[in-house]
Amino acid sequence: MFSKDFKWIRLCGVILLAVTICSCATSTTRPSASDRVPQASTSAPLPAPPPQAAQPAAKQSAAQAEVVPREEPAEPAPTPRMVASLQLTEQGKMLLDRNKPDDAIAVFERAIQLNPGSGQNYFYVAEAWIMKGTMDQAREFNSLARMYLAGDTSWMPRVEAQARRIASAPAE
Amino acid sequence: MLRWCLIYSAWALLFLFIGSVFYCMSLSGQIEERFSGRRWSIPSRVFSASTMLYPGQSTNRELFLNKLRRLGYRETVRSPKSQGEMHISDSAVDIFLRDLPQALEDRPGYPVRIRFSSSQIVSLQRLDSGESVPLLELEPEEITSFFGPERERRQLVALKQVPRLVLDAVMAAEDMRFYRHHGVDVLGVVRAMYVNVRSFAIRQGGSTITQQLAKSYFLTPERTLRRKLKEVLISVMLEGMYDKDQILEIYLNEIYLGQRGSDSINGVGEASLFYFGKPVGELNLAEAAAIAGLIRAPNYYSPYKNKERCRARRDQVLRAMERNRLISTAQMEAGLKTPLEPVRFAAYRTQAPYFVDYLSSQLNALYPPEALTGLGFSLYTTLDTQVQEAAEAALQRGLSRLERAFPKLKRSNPKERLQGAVLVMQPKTGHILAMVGGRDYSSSQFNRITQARRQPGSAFKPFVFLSGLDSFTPVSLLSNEPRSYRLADMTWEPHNYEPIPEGQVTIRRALAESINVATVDLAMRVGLDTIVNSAKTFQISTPLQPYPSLALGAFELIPLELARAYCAFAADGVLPYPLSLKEVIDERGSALERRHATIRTVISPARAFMMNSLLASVVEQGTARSLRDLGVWFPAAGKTGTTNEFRDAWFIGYTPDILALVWVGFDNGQSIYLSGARAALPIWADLMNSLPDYISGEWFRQPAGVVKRTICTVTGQLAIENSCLGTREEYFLEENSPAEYCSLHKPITPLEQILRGIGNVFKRF
Repeated sequence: MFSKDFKWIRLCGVILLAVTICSCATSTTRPSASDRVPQASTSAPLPAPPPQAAQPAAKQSAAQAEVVPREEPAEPAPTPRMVASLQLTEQGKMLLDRNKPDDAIAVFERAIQLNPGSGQNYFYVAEAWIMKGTMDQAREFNSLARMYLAGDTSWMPRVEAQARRIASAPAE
Repeated sequence: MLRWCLIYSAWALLFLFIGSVFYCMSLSGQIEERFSGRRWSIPSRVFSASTMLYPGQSTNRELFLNKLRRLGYRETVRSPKSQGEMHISDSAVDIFLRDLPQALEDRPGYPVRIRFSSSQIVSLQRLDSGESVPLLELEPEEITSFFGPERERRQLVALKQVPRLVLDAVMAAEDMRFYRHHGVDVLGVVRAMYVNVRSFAIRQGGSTITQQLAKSYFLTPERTLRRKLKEVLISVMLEGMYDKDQILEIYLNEIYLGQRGSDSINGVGEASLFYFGKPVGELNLAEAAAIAGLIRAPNYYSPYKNKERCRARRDQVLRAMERNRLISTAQMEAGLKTPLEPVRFAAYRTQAPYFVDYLSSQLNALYPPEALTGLGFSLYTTLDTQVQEAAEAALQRGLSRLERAFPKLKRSNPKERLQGAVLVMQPKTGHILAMVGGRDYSSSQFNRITQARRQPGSAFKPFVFLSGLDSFTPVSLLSNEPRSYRLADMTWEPHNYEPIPEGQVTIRRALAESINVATVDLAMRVGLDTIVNSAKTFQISTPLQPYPSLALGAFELIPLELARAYCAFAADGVLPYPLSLKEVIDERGSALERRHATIRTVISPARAFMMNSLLASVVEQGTARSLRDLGVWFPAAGKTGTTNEFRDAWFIGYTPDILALVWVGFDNGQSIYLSGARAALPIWADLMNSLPDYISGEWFRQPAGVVKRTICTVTGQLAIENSCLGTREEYFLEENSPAEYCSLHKPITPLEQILRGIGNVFKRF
């Protein structure tokens, strides 16, 4: 009987200790002016939220209602659309190699329709516009490529180099 | 006397001869002019975009099968054996693809099996080699033709494209000795006279193919001796000037072969498509004989008018072919046993008529009308016929549903009926995928997408909030206190659609719930001129006045421009040109005009992302939250719009892949008594649910310049962990993200932490 009670007291003690340690480890006092910038979450994109269930959304209170809707996935697994888009990207590249920028743009536009999140397509469209000598469009698509390929160390040097070529092109 | 007679006769003969020479020279000039120049006026044909298929693609099977039928694929009960055939089963469609010219490499037609699960393409597999196909392109669909006044439908075919069977059938039916006479077949005339005299009826004509061509090309239809003589003369001259193959080719393209409504069917190329739904190269013996049989009297022998009569005439041609040893007896027997199966009587119908009108208005700036109706251009567009069909159906269903639910919306006069319009675009490229400018084109050709000027109401609010992004954040508070604004000689007081008790609301909530009072407060603080300039940046062309009511969309704009402006949010801040025409190709296959997506950055990607985030709240918790009840499971952003006295109902919704605008209202501005959420939004949901192919479920990527912070839901300041009772994450532009921590909730002491920790542990149990 006594040993049972002791066991309970010991368990409570352990819980109390654990809680205290956890709370101390995570608690923040009001930060000083120098460390007021919290950890930015942009460096580690969050996983995509699950699809919304098609249920009636009850009207919530103002505080509850204001929820940031969603975040982008970190590394999206290639979907069938992405795979199909990539096929078109390859076709477009071959057309660029054959010096057919108009045909290539038409194909890349189809690729963009299937996967608007692929930065490569914008890069190649910019390349086609360079080939056609239309630098304002090349610049626009290069900007999109830069946005979508930001952080991609294998692609960004190419995007930067492309931007330099566009900038150094004679004015239209 | 005799001498004088001889002299006069000689002179007469000389004059006659000289006259004949001049006449012949004149005729020869006419023939030369007619044949060396452009022979026919060929209407330009307008095509949709091609369709891509790939394994794993979500698809609406009904729309897909409709598309195949419109493309002219013929259903067979067995596996397809030749180009243009298809076999439909429960879980698959087998198609024998047609040859398709492609930029990289022309694709020869081949048979392919498309396997389906309930709503997906499971696999694409070649039936000839068993290889799987990673990506398949279906040919563009003809959506209309631009006709001249003669309304002749004609598909030009070269003689080498016409199979021997067809040539033999035509000669057996019309002129068996074509390659042996010189324009006039005396033997044929004698034989025809003999047959006609014996039967006391005109059973056989003696006109050769060359004579028929002369008659059709140069002469009027009256039956006089003079005209007949002229026909003979022209025929002989034609034979002298051109070789037999040239004459036959012109004849095969020229002959009249039937009528479809107001359009005439000319030439074997068009006739084979019209009667048998296939190019002339794919005709079998029985079909070739049937078409050859039509030449004599196309409407009398038309299979659509009298199938038995057409079959009897076809059999006559088959027998004539066998009699002339053009086919064997066995071939004839097989042909005679073949049932006559013309394709279903599908009406020539201009698809997407409002889109075609919009396209025409742009083409008129490029080409004169005669060029479009006569030079046989091929015009390739951005239209996706499956999206168009879904948009038309969704609008029809939506408006009918509203009229059933609210009988006071019904009007007896078709011109006054409840109207609606839908525009679907691909935001990144500006491609117009579908355009429905009204409920019924036959009763009203007014295009409510491109020609209407309607007030956007709350659908304009995003541009007010965008203008405020530099100085406000999603958690900034706006006043929701009723307030009057002084205008020139009057006061104006905005009111909320529903009572909102709070005196202050956040930016996010004000937009999500479309709170008018708070929006006007924001507009006044941002500055009305700033908003006007912002709207102009988005190429809104209608005049905007800096009145407070501007914030609530109390001005007119063109729906197409509104949709385009929203595209900039969905396209990382780039405003695309709304593209409908992609390419103009002339008869020889040369590109006369090529158009691509052209874009211009109007806002930063960070601002566009912020707007997407705010407008997603409209769908998640705001005025468009009913989308979730209507089966819209995927992430989407959008905005409802309702104007004064419920004259206009709007919903513009989008994802990274697709954007659609829906408008509902009366042309005369009468009230529909319904908000955008009740009238327009269900149509949008219905449309999106019909287009699984366009729904990837992806959301916008967070660009540089946007940060996410955890904030206190009470103060909107940075949350202090374990102190603020309610926290949530919020996006901010990096330059105006909050720096201050919550001033309301103080950091807790270690003892409070321990107690709160214990409390949390017990809460878990």
